[in-house]
Amino acid sequence: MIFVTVGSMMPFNRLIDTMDRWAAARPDVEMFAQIGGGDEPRHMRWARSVTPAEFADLVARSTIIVAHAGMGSIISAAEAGKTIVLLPRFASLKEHTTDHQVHTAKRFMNRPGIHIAMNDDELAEAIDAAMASVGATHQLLPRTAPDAFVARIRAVLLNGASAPQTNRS
Amino acid sequence: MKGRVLAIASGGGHWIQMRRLLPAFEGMDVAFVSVSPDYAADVPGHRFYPVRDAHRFDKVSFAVLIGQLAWILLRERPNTVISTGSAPGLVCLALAKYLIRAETVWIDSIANCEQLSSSGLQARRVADVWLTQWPQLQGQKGPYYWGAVL
Repeated sequence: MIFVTVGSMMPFNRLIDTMDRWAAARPDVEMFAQIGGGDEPRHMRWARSVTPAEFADLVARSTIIVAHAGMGSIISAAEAGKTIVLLPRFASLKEHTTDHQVHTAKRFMNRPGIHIAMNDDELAEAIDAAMASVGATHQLLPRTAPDAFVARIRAVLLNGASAPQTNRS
Repeated sequence: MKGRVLAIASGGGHWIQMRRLLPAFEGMDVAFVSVSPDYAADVPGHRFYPVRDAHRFDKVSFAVLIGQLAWILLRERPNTVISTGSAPGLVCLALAKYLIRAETVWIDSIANCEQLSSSGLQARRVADVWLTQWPQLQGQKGPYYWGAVL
């Protein structure tokens, strides 16, 4: 199953329309799309929003995930050991308020299990690459932040902000 | 005695980043605030408050949010308020600073790797600990880089 998600209620029609056309050409592939406030697809099962529990279940059942380049999607896929294809939202198309998803996509493009389509016309190729890589074992991302970062935040909560703030490691 | 904490994060990635910091709160008296009651399931055994997901250009929602956060802060009286964004977290830090003189921690979302979020830039004025999760964004006077949730 391919799980398509726009990550929130913010519409992302470029992703949903492109994936709907992809689904029309590949009726053999089971699809489910979380579409937010955007246009309804015709060739995929869909929901506007899903609960966190439903989201986790869809991630677990998916072969690959195709998503906007949001950190929630990236982290969820990594924690579940799933391959993910990212299409960043563009501020110029009013898909988001800034281009931070473009920056995120570039920053994460070389990580194992992450495939990037910088534009919608690269999406099909990125999906092919992602599908071909499924089965290669990715290390599961632990569900907690690295110990060193956790320890520094914890120290602030226990001892106050003034002591460790000047530290620059 | 520290260790009484209010942790506030918006939905999606903001909340997931806060969830990854749960070990930092172990053994502390922590209340969580987010924009959907669904997230309460991630923090069993802790008090949880859903608030209005407001943007600054939506004046009514913004007013409701301020009222909700003020009530939560006065009820919880945390020593420290910590946020991973976004706008509701910034508002909560500002209220915490001036309403109950709590210490405040801003951890800018890991989604912002080329420039701080707009909320994150404004957090400079109300955060006692002002952090970015990307080393290339740190400055002499902050934001500081102490690591990241990944």
